[in-house]
Amino acid sequence: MIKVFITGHLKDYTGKKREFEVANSKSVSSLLGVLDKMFPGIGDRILDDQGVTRPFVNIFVNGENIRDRAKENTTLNEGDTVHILPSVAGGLVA
Amino acid sequence: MPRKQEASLILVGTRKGAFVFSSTDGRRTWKASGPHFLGQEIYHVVYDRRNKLLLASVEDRHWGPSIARSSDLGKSWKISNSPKYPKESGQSVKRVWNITPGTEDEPDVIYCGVEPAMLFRSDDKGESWNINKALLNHETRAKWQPGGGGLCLHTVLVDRRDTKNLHIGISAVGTLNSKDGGMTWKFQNKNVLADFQPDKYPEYGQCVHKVVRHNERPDVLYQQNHCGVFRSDDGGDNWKDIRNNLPSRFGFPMAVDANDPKRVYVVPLIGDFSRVSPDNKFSIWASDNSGKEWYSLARGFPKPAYFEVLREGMATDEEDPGGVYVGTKTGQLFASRNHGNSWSFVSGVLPEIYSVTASAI
Repeated sequence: MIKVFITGHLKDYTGKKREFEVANSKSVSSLLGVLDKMFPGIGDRILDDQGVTRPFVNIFVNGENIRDRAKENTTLNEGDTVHILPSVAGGLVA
Repeated sequence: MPRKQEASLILVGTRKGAFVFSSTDGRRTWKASGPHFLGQEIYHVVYDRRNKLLLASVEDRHWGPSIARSSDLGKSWKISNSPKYPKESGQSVKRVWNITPGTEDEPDVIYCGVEPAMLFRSDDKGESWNINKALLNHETRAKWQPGGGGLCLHTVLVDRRDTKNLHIGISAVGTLNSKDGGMTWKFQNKNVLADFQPDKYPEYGQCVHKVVRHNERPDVLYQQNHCGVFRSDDGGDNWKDIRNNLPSRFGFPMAVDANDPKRVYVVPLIGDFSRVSPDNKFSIWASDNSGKEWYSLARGFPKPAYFEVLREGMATDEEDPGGVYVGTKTGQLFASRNHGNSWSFVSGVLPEIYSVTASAI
């Protein structure tokens, strides 16, 4: 099982649940596909039309940002922890 | 014609959420609800009177753009399936700029215009969206250049006589027309100035800010452009400069009075590099003869004032006498229930106003 933590407006799609477990995901990409089936529409909030993680969204696998690994192709293993979090984006445009 | 109604609505999209103002006393007083989607950018919010639906363009800087629908005037909202570019296009929807319900003859049809410039059509009241392939594959698309707000498709006009007759406005591409429901498109920018280009009257590349028309005179189109104010009397094939005695050629919104197809409104700004009202006197300018002459409507506005109004920041209603509504980038919302002849504050404390629409329910 993969343990997933989410926050922000993503909770609107999960019935306000912040954490849950997901089975059968070998990569971040497949995990997000499973999440979208569990919570329809959540995938569009995390990925753009090209399947790329939105610029102000960070996905961490065991604490490491997937942008520093294989991005959406980052592999997952049983027992991994995934955090999907909004990035810090303060300043002029907030 | 004025319609029988229960209440009047002003729908306001702002940088920090949507607000719904309703009046049941002939538009004398307004009761606010909201903000809906607190903290999120609402580029456009409209009431689809055919289906009794509120539709809002919601942009979250983190979680991307979406379209939300409400069947209970905002008490609850449902996010629709987002309009999306196909994978092979290499593009992604960045922002939904405009939502336009179709005609009474096609009650399930709703259009939306997005950035980068694309038209989407829904045939199920906004639940799902289909991309316009003719625009996606348009032979000139690779040469389209964005305006200051981005490469946005911000105007959609549907002809009530013939729903296959569509007009769209894209900054900075210009006006396009389809006679076949969006299967093919042709540019309609003849005589529309683009003096920021070497060729001042190109086939396309005009910075159109807003295109409007009255449903009773569908062949007469008006546009506020970066480089002037224009009118077409032949469905967009030819345009004529109607700036005439306006204090500036520059501005963003434009509106037509619902009771009088020849009465139009603009909000002049000094110019591209100084986007405030001329002489620091905020004013709506009206013409009663389709743009031959213009005059200022400023009774009730504070003086001096340094307001700016965005392209979706002005609207008219369908009541009699006609209402006009205008919202500023600094959060003031004004209303007139006498064709703009006098104005009153509805609110002075809103976030930056992106859009104003009005409807009866």
